[in-house]
Amino acid sequence: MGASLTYPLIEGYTGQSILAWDQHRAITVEEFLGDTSAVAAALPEAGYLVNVCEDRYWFLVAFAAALSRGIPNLLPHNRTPATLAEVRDRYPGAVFASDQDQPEPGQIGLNIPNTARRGTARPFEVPAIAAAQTAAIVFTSGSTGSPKPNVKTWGSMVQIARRTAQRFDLAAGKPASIIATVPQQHMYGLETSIMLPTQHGHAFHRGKPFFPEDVRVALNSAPAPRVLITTPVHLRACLADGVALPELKLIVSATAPLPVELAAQAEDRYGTHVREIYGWSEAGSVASRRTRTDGSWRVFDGSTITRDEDNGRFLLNADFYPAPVPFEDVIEQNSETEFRLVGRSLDMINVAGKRVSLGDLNFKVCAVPGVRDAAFYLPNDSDNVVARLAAFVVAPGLSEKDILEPLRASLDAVFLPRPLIFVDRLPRNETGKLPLNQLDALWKTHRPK
Amino acid sequence: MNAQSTIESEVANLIVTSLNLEKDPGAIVPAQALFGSGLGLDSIDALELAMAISQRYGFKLRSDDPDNGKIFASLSALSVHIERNRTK
Repeated sequence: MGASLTYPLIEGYTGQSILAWDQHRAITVEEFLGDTSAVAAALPEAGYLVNVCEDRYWFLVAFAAALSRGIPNLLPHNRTPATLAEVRDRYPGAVFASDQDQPEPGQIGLNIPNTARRGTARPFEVPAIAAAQTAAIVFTSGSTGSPKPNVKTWGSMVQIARRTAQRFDLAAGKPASIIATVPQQHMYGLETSIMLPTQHGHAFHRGKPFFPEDVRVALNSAPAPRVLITTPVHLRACLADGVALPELKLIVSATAPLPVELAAQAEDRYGTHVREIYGWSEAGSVASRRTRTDGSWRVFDGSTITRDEDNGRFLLNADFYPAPVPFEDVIEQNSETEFRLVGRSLDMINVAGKRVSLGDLNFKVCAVPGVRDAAFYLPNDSDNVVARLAAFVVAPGLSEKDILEPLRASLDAVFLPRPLIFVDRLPRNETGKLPLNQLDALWKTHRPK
Repeated sequence: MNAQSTIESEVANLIVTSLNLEKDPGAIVPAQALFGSGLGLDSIDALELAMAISQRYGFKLRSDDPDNGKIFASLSALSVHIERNRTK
């Protein structure tokens, strides 16, 4: 038994390798090791580190310092006051690691850039981290109104990074420049913009380019081969903008289904391949495809798909999961290693690449004082690329503002209902359920215009 | 003051049409916040708006612009930024 199995904190570098860069300067591995040991030494005895650093490099320093001290990183899925308060209540004494000058009031905070500044570059000695150690706890929207914690061991994160690198020809030996438009606190961003580069000797961009012009500037600040980690929303914005991007080895997209036409257009315009990653929070990245040519998804090497004989659910198996992980979406199995997506989960919906549980949204809107009944609804008749949520509410005497203001404190802004529709009652059936066809009908009579 | 200047009224129209908002452009108060509790725009709207601005006014928004917090602060601030940077 590999009770003492470890994997190095970073791999594929020398002391002078470039680990991260921005428009001002590049950071070497030796400098990173110095920053990390300074932060590790300054971390108080704490059960958890809430890592809300926005700069990707400071995030990694805090992440690595916590790992080397055996402290799990907590990664909240948004930064609304309600989410942070909930994390604080659930994990008392957790230390908040931030790279902002003004920490949230009432939190035991550690400013990572200021703490790291006390350190000096260290010789090239890379700490080994136990595979079984909890590296991160990632939160996702849960159907009961509370964020659901997903525990990630260091071993599983390293294994997924290795399989991703193998699939995308990004193994160590040919340093690449990785630029990501996605946050590192979410599974996809953590796996592709932190773990993938740092386990294979690649350099990553510290920022999170947002507008197409930001993406162009970030890509131009790095040597080839370049990899762009992004989402359908950003890819579409770049194509619509007409921005000229430098040569790209690969574009990776995830978080929402990428339309085939968009993938083909991006491949032609930028002279590269566009590959999609499929995954979900419980499992992490599990499969990929080249959107333009592949209707099916192929799981990463070493994983297999099986079926639970008792309930018919499909399961993903890999030796680094404690137990097989049930698929969240509805799939059709082609073989032990290939599948097609048939339907998305009814509870987990996607708005602009962000996933949320409808149950969670309904719980939150019903909790607003004065709301008697309410239901969120995702229309499927929109011409917009980004479908917006609507919500039906029964709330006599309340204004739109009375409902939106409390929601804003606990929900990511993209999930706020647009429109919010006041109704006298919801078409619940005798068991109290809201059949989807009833909601579709309600939407048809109330939708704008 | 709720009255919109000529450019503000033009930008208000651009916001409402490019984002498909169910709002009267003339009702957007020039000093009101565009994001959060004001008009309620979010990051996806910012991307859409950047596209519309680049097509209409011929310049590209950058998020590392040191004035960025100010640019999107309100209709009047955005209008000033557009007047200053437009190429068409």
